[in-house]
Amino acid sequence: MFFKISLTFIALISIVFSQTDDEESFLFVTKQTFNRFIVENKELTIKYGLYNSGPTTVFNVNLNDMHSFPADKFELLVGTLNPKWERIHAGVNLTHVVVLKPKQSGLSNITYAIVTYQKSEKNTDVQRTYSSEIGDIYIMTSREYDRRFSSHIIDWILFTAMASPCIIFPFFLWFNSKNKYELLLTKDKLIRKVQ
Amino acid sequence: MSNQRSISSDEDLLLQDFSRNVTTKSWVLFSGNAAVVSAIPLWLFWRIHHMDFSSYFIHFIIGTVISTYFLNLAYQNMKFILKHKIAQKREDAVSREISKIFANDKNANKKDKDDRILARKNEVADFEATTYSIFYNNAFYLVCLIILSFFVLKNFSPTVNYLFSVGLSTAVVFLFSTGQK
Repeated sequence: MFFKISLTFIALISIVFSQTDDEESFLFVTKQTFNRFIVENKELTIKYGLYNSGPTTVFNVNLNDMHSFPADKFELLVGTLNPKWERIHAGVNLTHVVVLKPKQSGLSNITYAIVTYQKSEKNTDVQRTYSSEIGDIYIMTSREYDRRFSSHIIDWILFTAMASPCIIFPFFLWFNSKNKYELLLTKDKLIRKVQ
Repeated sequence: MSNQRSISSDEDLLLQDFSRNVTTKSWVLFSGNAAVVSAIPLWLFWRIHHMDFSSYFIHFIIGTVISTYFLNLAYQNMKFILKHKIAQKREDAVSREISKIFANDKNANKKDKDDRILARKNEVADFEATTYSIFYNNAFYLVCLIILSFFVLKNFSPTVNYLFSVGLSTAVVFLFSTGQK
C-alpha cells in the first residue's frame, strides 16, 4: 500500500516539474544568407530569424555575431552585428538583417551567432543559445564574377568592329569579281537570244 | 634553242599553276591576314576572360604563332582547291571579255588572244580563290573560336579555355581545308 502511495506521489511530482519545464520559453535562432554568389567587394546580406517558442515572454535578448565577421575581412554596411531587444513576446518571430561587404576573396568560415536572454524579468539567470551556421563559404573574386556574369556589350561591339573587316573585305572583293563575270555571261546570253 | 627555252618556261608556268606553292606576294598576304585574325581574339580573352597580357604573355605568343601558321596553310590549301574550279567556271566569261577587247584589233593573232585569255583566266581565278579562301577561313575560324570559348569551354579556367579553343578551332579549320571537295 505504502509502495503504491509513494509511486503515485513520485508520479505527481514529476508531472508538476515537467509542466513547469514546459512553461519555459526557448528561443530558436536561424542564420542564413540571401546571396547565391558571395563576391569580394559586393554586398552580402545575412538574415537572422529569432522565434520565441514558449508561452512566456523572454527578456534582454542579446545577439552577438561579431566573431563571424571580423573587421579585417568584412566591412559592415547596414545594420549591427550586436543587436539587443528588450523583450520578445511568446510565439513571436523576429527578423534582423545585416549587410556586409567581404574585403577578401577565398574560403571563409561563417560560424554561429550567440544569443543570450533571460527567461523572465525576475530571473536573472542568463540563458545562452546558438544560431544555425552558414559554414564554409567561397568568396569569389570580383574579376571571376565579372568573367562569368557581366554582359561585356561594349567589348563585343569592339570585337565585331575589329573582326568584321577581316571577313567583309575579302568577301566583298570575291563577290564583286564573281558578280562581274556572271553578269558578263548572262548579258552575252541575253544578247544572243535577242539576236 | 630558244624554242626549247620557251617550252620550258611555259612548262614552268604550268607547273606553278598546278602546284600548291604560292607566290611571295600571296604568302605575305596570307601570313598578314592569318596573323591579324589570330591576334583579334586576344581582345576577347583579355577583356572578357580577364587574361592579362603580362601574366599570359607566353600562352598568347604560342597560341598566336600556331594559329597563324596553320591558318596560313589552310588559306593555301583552300586556294589550291578553289583556283581550278573557279578557272573552269570563269573560262567562258573571261574569253568573252578578252574577245571584246580583241574585236577592234584586226592585227592580233589567235595565239596572242589565247595567251591573253589564259593569263586573264589565271589571274581572275587566283584573285577569287585568294579572296574567298581568306573570307571563308577567317569566318570559320572566328565562329569556331567563339563557340568553343564562350559555350563549350566557358566554365574551364582561362588558360585551358584559351589553349583549347585556339588549338581546336585552328585544327578544325586546317582539317576542313584539306578536304578535296
